[in-house]
Amino acid sequence: VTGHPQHDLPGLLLGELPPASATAVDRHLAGCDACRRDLAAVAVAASALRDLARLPAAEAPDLPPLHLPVGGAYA
Amino acid sequence: VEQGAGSNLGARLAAGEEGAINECYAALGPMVLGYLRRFVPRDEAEDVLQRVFYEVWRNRDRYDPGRSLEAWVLGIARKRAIDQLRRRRSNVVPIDELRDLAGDDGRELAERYARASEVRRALGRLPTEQREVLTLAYFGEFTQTEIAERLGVPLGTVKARAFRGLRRLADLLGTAG
Repeated sequence: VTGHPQHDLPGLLLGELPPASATAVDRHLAGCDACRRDLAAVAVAASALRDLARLPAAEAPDLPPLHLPVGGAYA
Repeated sequence: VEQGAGSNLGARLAAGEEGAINECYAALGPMVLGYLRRFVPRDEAEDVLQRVFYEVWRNRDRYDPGRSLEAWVLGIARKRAIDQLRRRRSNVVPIDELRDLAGDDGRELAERYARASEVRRALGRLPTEQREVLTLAYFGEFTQTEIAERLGVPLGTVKARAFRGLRRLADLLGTAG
């Protein structure tokens, strides 16, 4: 691996990198603060997405119209 | 639309700006309704939903624009759902639902819904190609190799989009908080 292996970080978290690549990325991370920060940020975003995907009925698709009481809307 | 649209909406709501409640309802209503339906029957959930957003509008001056609009609205929804369950005078007391809503777990679940809504909104602000890759990976559970085949792009492109999308999402979630 030459340069920063940032593009491999999502795959690393997903467990999709071939073992040799994962090892190379791991070795790079040990000595690179910038990539460790990127890994932390990517991990936070990935876990947020995963939680959203797991939450049952996180959104109802059939929203009824909003009826505010007469005079209450912009009173 | 622009960065910080979420907190901006909250600020406009707090300022009593006309139209802000309708925007707030359009943005957060689906999430609140999804949450309410978990605990109260369908027809009742829609009534509670109306009450929640009426209260959001009435109490808009109590909202602190420095805090999460989602979390504030969900807090109101949780209280109104508890009221709704307690109001029932039938012999069947919905103990389980009340317990799920009222305790620490209920608070935590409300926070998860609020967070999920923030994440969905942030996801909507990403460039289409990045959102597409992340949606396939985390909602479709496709591997990056499968996504590359599906989209007809090189694996390296999928990896780059996934990285940029997650990185940007983390920034949006960090600042939107």
